[in-house]
Amino acid sequence: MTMVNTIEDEVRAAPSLKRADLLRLAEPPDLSPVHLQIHRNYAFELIGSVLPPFLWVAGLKSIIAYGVYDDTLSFSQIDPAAVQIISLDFERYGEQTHMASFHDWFAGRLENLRIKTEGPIVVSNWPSESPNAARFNLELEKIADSLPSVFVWDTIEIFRDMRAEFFNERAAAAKGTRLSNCACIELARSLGLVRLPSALLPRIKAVAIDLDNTLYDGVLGEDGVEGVHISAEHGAIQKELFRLREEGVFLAILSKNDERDFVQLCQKRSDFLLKPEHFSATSIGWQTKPKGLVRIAEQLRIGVDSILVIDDDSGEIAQIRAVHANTPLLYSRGPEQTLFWLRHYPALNGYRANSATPLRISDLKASRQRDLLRVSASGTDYLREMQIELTYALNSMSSCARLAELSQKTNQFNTGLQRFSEVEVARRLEAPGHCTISVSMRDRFCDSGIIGAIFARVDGDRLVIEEVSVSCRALGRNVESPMIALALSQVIDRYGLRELAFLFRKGPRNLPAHMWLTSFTGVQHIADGSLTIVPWETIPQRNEHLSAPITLRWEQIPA
Amino acid sequence: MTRCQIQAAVVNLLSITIGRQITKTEVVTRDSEPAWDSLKHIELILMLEEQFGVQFSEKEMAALRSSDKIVNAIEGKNAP
Repeated sequence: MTMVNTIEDEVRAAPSLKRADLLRLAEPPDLSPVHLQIHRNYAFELIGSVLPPFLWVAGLKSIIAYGVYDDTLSFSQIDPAAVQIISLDFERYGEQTHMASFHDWFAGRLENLRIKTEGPIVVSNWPSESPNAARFNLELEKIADSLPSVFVWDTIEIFRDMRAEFFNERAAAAKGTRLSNCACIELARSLGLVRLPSALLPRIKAVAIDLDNTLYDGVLGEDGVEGVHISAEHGAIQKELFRLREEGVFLAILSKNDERDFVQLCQKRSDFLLKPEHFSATSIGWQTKPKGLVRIAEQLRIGVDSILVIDDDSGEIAQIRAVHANTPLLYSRGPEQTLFWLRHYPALNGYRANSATPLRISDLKASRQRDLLRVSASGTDYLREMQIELTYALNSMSSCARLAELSQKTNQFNTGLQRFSEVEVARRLEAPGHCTISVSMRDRFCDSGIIGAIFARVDGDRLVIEEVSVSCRALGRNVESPMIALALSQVIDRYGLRELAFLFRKGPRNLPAHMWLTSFTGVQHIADGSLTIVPWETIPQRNEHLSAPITLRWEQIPA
Repeated sequence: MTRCQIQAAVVNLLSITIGRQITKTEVVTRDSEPAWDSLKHIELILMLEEQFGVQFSEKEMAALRSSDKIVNAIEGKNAP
């Protein structure tokens, strides 16, 4: 996924899409295949046939398997690795949907499918304004929240936008569905651009946006603060950016401008809703955009491939693409299109919030205060003044989504690179002999939420540690060893174990994890794919947590 | 819209449907094109309705079994 809003993407962003225009689009090269298994009681094929052009934007190529129409959701033939999509015409169930037993039955079917499969499950809700549908949709949200990696595909907004045009009973028997052609296309657009990418891809962490002719019409340096035009669409773009910020996406400005002009714009124009404090990073100056992007990535402490760049200058976009090939790019042709893509850009929208989501922005702000403290204090004083509190929980199901996120997204401090899915984490949390530990961190500056995960299992008198993941937000406070030592010591005591076995896998960016493992175990040569076995008693730093000036507590104490 | 224009548009949509470029003079039938299955047929109908702003009944849909018949049917619906 590198760049949207080329001429082809204008087709996908059009307010009124035509099936023929979508089917004319040519498939781009280098797509990643994704297997979809469809469970339905109507002709989903009319959605499925126009799904690929939307998924291509996310770099995905769908391989779709359809079963027979099945009102009973028997799931008789399942590809356990595929993404499961359940899309039903709920009107076919008639009066049954009044009853609580229908909700229970549906929950049971979803649980059954969850047990049988590994991949995400996407289930469409009921596009109707009836009280029955409202009740069912509410229940469905609860059911999905209670199961790992089950996502509701919200069809209500499309239904409300289209109203009478959503269904078309004419020739429904021949078509195999009551859905209109327009509804099928809109549903494919929401599934392909938003719902499936958010179930399959890690979220874009930041939006770096240009100023001139992107957040307003005009050139700030030439037209002046009062001369630039901020339309209603530009206002809506700013509101969308606010929404993304609320959801934990960093905002940044990447612009060739004078920073003082930008500050004045924020101060003097009440219709420019965003203020400097809303941006977690800026690169406003005359350096090249690729360099500015690196500067922003450094300020945000993330990779350039996690930042969506929005710019109205195709030359700048091409320049960024030439240097940072994996950076997601949006060529802003106009405010309406930018607004559309802010709502529909794959891997930017449709994510479920977890406990760590709203903490990211405050944590980054706090990291700057920590840096200042580090300069003025050193060693033990720094740790003491930080007033760090670590809270541990063993096999806590409520942390399942965050633990999976840490396993999947942590690149620098990740010893095993196991990339456990939410389903796998849920199974580990319940499996006998498995120890999955979450670590939350708070210091005098802010609450960072869950920043560490240890995935281990007991094997005889050995604890096999398959992965230790520590968020990059928690690194640099010199607490990794005491943090991990305490967690391990509790498990060692609980099970009466004698030795540790660390699985290590080398990745492109996990040198910090390798260095820590070498230091922690005292073993100098730890190879890719190896299992490093060390007696607990020989671990040099096993008691470091006892002397470190850190407050430690167990929320869910190992019995 | 002239018959010639209708023909050109139908050829274009049929080419998308069966996945190969067909010529204006070629007569294509459902029986001769394995790729023109029942799902593709429904998709073609939907595209024809989009393109020409017409509607087909289920009976009419079933009768549209060749490029000629499609052109005739659309011409008939467009006739003043």
